[in-house]
Amino acid sequence: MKEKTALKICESALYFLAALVFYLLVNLWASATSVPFGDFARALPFGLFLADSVYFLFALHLLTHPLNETKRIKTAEVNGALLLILSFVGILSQAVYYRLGYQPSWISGGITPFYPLDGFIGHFVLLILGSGLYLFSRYLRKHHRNYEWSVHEWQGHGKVWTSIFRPFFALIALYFMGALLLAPFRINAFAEHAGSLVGFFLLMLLPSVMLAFYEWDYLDKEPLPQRQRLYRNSVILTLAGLILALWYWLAQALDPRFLSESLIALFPWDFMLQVKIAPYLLLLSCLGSSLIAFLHYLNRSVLKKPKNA
Amino acid sequence: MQLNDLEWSSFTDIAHQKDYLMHLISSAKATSNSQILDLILLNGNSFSLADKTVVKNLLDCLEAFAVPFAFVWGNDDLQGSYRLADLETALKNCPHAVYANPMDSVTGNSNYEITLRDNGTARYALYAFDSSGYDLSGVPLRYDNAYIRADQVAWLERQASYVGPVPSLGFLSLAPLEFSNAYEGRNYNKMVFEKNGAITTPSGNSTLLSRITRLNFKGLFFGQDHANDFVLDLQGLRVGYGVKSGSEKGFATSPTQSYLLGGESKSLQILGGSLYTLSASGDFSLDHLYLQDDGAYTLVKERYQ
Repeated sequence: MKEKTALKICESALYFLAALVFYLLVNLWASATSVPFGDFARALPFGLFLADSVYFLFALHLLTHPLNETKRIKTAEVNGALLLILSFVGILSQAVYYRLGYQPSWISGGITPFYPLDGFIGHFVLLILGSGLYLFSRYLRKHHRNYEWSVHEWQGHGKVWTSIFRPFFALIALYFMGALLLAPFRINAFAEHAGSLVGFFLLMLLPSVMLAFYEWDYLDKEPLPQRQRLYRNSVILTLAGLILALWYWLAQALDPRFLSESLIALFPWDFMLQVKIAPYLLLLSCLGSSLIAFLHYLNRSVLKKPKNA
Repeated sequence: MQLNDLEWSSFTDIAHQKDYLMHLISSAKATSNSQILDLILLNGNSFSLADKTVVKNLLDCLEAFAVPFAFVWGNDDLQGSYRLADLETALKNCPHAVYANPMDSVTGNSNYEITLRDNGTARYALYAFDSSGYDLSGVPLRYDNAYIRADQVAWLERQASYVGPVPSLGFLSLAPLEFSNAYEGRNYNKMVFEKNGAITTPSGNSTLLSRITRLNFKGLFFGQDHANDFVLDLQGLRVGYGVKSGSEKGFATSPTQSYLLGGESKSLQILGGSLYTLSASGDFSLDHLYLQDDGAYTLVKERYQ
């Protein structure tokens, strides 16, 4: 198996774990808004663990799709060192908290069933992964390795905007994938709202499907020319987005309480603030990104032939 | 005893809040005429973005008091990382829990009635109404708080005719809109205790308040707004807030009242619980017990009069 394919498989597998972790992180933040800082501070090392885990996914993505050898080495070196430092800070702070009595026990529960022990062990895993990344950069400096370098298909301002919006979109996709994975444990009254909920679950899945298309059927894919793939993928995903948006609006009209009766436990921010954040964030991000992909297809400067042709 | 808005979350200092509750219950017992508590009623928002561990902690704590306790749903109870059925199962497993979610088509879950009997004769009825949940709002992209629906009021009337014309008290988490209208329109005889913040109500107008005046209701009580504990006299019917219980998610201090701690004057914390003493004649006395979270657990008691 090619090194790049192996890394992509690792990245895809890690995606589901990072999705759960990111979902927990966002909801932890929701809980933290209503408690004094002193109470929230006790969970900071755990929050750092959650954030570092998501950060590792991004570092792995950059390592999988480097533009050239120098960037690959720097990606491994800088992200490895940062992960190492952050996880060390996490371990140290957790140990100090325990020593000072801020944590009553190693398994007190509350945020997860094994909190804070799971975060403490997780920091050690990240410490190992960070060290591994850093050592890999040292290895790469000494040994040249052939690799399929990626090409950044956007130029100028587009390059800047995509480097901002893609991670943001990835975070949205992670959050909803995390919510979807936990839905069986948090959903109420499924039978009463099954028709509406199935469409909404598909909508929650769509951002991750878009990322999967991007990862596996767009980046580095040969021999189909990029313009054709861009056209096909953007049309498929826009259509899927439109169908699911229509499904959602129909469900809202015919079964207006399906979200509030079934998914309160899944989207605490929405019901805390009493604003429909989740459905409209999903609709905007799915329709917006597929529209951008289609506009990008219309851009004449996008490669018409495979880069290696 | 009515407890309101305990708001235990994943960040709660469980040991401290347990200690507070223990002192509150002991103070209430010591204050009551009979030195015992017959019922603790958790009137909504007992949890806030909690998980099953937090639920277990609170229910274990309540079980330890060996006093029957009733549970009423509030909005915040729905937002935890558990299914509604999980919490109901946890309640069913508590020997002292009084909770019913009848398999009917009435809106909400905690619509039930507790009949207090004396030698087999019904003397008083306590009604729990489920005001949790959300409705679509008239404002785009927003949710509104759910209001007590016509089918819940119809259920109340059916239940009241079944129980008979005994004096009754009602409990729900969220104030109905008619209460806010009565306050704004000054359509009340008197106001006791404090209003330190806005009144949260749903936009939908229920007929609950107007209907209970035709039944033998003596009072209707709710929570949700931590800063308020005022009670209005609406033509003989007492309607108003309970006292926020425990310091989680914030509470108010009185701008006018103070108490002495070690010779030093301190602003009164609007924190504690409401104690109801029901008499066979149908009358009842209402005390707000302000148990200060000041390390010494100083108790300040005020009676509705």
